[in-house]
Amino acid sequence: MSDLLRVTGLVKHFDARRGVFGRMLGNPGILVQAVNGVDLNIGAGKTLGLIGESGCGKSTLGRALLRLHEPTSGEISFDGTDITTLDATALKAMRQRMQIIFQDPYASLNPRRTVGEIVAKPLQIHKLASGSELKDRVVSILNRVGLNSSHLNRYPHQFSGGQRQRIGIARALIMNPKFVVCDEPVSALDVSIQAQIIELLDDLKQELGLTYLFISHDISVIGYVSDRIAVMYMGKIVEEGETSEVLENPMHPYTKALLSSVPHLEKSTTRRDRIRLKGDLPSPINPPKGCKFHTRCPLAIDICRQKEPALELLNGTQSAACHLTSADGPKGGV
Amino acid sequence: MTMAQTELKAPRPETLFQRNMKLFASSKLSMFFLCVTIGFVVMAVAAPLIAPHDPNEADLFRRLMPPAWMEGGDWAYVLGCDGLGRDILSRIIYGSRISIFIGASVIIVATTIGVLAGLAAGFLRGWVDVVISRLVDILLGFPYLIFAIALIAMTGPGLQNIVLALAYKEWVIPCRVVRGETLATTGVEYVEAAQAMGASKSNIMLREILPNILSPVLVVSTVRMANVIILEASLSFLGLGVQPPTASWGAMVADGRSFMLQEWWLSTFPGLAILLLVLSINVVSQGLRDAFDPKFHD
Amino acid sequence: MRDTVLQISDLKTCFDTRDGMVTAVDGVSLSLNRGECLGVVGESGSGKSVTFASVMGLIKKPGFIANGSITFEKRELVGLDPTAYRKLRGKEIAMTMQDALTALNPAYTVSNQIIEVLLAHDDTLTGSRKAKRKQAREQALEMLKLVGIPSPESRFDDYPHQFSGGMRQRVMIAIALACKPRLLIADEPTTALDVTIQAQVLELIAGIREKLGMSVILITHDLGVVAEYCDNVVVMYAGQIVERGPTHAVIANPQHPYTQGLLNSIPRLSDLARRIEPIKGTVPELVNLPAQCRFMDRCTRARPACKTHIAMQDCGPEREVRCLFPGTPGGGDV
Repeated sequence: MSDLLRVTGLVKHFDARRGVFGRMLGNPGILVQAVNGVDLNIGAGKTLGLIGESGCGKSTLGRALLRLHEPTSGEISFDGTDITTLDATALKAMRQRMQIIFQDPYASLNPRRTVGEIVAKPLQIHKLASGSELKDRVVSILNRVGLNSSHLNRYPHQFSGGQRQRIGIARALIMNPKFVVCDEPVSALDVSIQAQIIELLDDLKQELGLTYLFISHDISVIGYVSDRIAVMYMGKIVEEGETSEVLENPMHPYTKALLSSVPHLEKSTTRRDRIRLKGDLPSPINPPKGCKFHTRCPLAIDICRQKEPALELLNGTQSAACHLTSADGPKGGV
Repeated sequence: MTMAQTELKAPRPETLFQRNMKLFASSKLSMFFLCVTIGFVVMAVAAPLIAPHDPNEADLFRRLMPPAWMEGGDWAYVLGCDGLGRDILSRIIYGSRISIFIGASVIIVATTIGVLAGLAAGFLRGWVDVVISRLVDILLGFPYLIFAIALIAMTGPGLQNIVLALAYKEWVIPCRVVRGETLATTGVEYVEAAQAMGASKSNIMLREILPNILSPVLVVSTVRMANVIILEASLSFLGLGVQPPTASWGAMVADGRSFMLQEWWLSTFPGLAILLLVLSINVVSQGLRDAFDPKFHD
Repeated sequence: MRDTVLQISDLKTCFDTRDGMVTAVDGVSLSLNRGECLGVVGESGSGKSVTFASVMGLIKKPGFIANGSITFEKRELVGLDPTAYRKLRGKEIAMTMQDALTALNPAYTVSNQIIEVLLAHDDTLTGSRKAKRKQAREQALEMLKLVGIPSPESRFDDYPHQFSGGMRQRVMIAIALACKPRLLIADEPTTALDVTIQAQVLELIAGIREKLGMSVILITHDLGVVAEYCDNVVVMYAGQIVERGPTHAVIANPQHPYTQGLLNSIPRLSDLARRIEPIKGTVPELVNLPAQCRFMDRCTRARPACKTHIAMQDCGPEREVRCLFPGTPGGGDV
């Protein structure tokens, strides 16, 4: 199997409240550890679903992969090229092949530009087309996402949320990228519209041979669209595996809690034997020692408070970062 | 609570800007004062055609002639004459050229510099931001008029020097507005989208951010223009403005000072001209603010 | 006879906008019994929030209640004078808002905000102003304990921004419940929250409802939440109720094509192989709607007969549907 994207040891820390003067005076400032050593592989033509709660660093990770946030350290190898070391020109060229679809269809489109201008812009920047060819390509991608040429001269505020998301998709796909980060593309949409967009993204993936990193906080959506799932907690991947494995046989207690928190449509008894997590996400400025989940974990034992577990391969394809599932852990195997 | 939930899709193919301008046009008060302002501009441009006399034509026989409706007045010199017998109406008409020219050119220069500096500070951040922001803070620390007086004292009076003296400090105001707006806009996803497609920094600043922050700039510049007109009048009043014999409203008020008690028309009419122009511009800018600020919508 | 707490009859709420008269709520009727939990489901523009803003007397210009009556414990609320409404709100009917950060006043401590509500409404407080304040403070502390804020004594005098999203939602619930209202209207109480926190907050509301015998209206777009926590459900579309009935009957056997569409739009973890089927099209604009079925343009069952005013009709025990051709596809009764 060939991986399109290989991420090793990716770290992204934000300096909060430091400023130039603070830096000159050597003020240590506040370090927000948004992404804290992530390893990921995404196979060509596959969808990796990245799930986590707000503040776990999943959006930062998605943006760091495209160098919209400069990674603090780590390596991102895309199609064999390490993109963290690319200079501005090479990075610009690389942008044709890696794109992003945003969560908020109201904020992601410039309100002062017409749909035609928004969708054509990538081609103009890279001087890939002009004149009638430009217009043809814009119209053809608009048609593909379910809009048409009568929409060209309209402004974003004249469209509904779902249509705006289609415009965002058209903009991302017009350069024929290979890899697309979908950052919560359906979270801001109504249920019936959400399904339309999921279908559209799925069709486009098949048709254009795309590879997705699909970020969401909704595990049902993730389960539906993904080939593999990665679960993120406080800047780290805590579990990763094939979709069916992770959903049917979750290893990490956090994944188990996530799955049991989802309300089910079917009449069920799960409500009573739900795994209840205590409290909230700890602050990423001052993360807990040891396993970052131990403050909320119902199964935490002494070693969890001291040593941080590494992500370990458990069976052929599924890995988890937990002392309790680790082969050489305190329980000696699963 | 109302609009967001009912999710109205505007059926009309118009931009937000056009919508706001329509809103502006729907206010009768704003439109009236816009007409007054335009009237002043027309007056300035067409001064030689409108003015009944040469503004610098002195005639001591007409010295301190009162306005036409008073005893000793003459309808050929409607607003009377000044201490050198020059027609006050003609001088006011020519004086509008100075006020509007200085007001407009200072605002154009200051806004251009301020917008570019503010964009750079807000978008590039880092040392650029530190340098620009500190400079703004320092300039804001000086009292405006004293700063301008000091500059003119160094460079000498003259149209060009007045514009520069005022623009030196004036740019910090649009700069601060633009920096704040840019900071807020930079975090918005369409800016990130432009970054993701490989747009250059200048492209992002000028094509993505700038069009979205022009509304507050437009509002601020109109308010400030009224201010600059007053400042120019103040400088002329102090004798640091345009040099005689060129007519300037501030200088006319100053010249009439010593006749204030008996020959009140020397100072009063140019004073009223300043008042009316500044008032009109302020009402227009208020109308613009109301139209462009979404808080006043619905 | 059942004890009806809230009765809404033929409510019509309009907004007079520049684009024309928007009928956000058009002929909504429903009733709620003591101790019942009613789920109100709908997408944006369905009128679900406006309906209950009307109940709370929170409709402001250019909106107005054009028709209908709202009775709370046999008292008519439409046209009630503002002073009487103020006494009612917070004390007998409480509402929690979707966004807890903007709904709490950032300038006051959490304790102050709860105490103020108690001082304004609670008649059981006795003695001097100071004595009342002391009692209110104790009750407020009790409330924060009840909603599960850890170590409430130390968090009591914090400001809203010092709380996390889940904690703020709890604080808002604590404020809403401070005077032991007989009806709680929870407007999307968990939409802004992560799934693990969402479960905590919903369990909390369910627990308090049982303890205090309170009636609850849960406004949400999440059918899963309704399935787990509500006795009955009302489905709204474009300002009208389109289907109502006992939750499990409606979910197992939806009669209205819109309800079916919604259910088919959600990916289900229990059955990931099932393809989702989006509803085509978008919600109609609520300006100058013709007298016809509002779902017609998106409906697969639409026929010429649907071009008329459609009334609610019975379709089973305690069930009603607004459709001429109700039924479940494959159920044989289409």
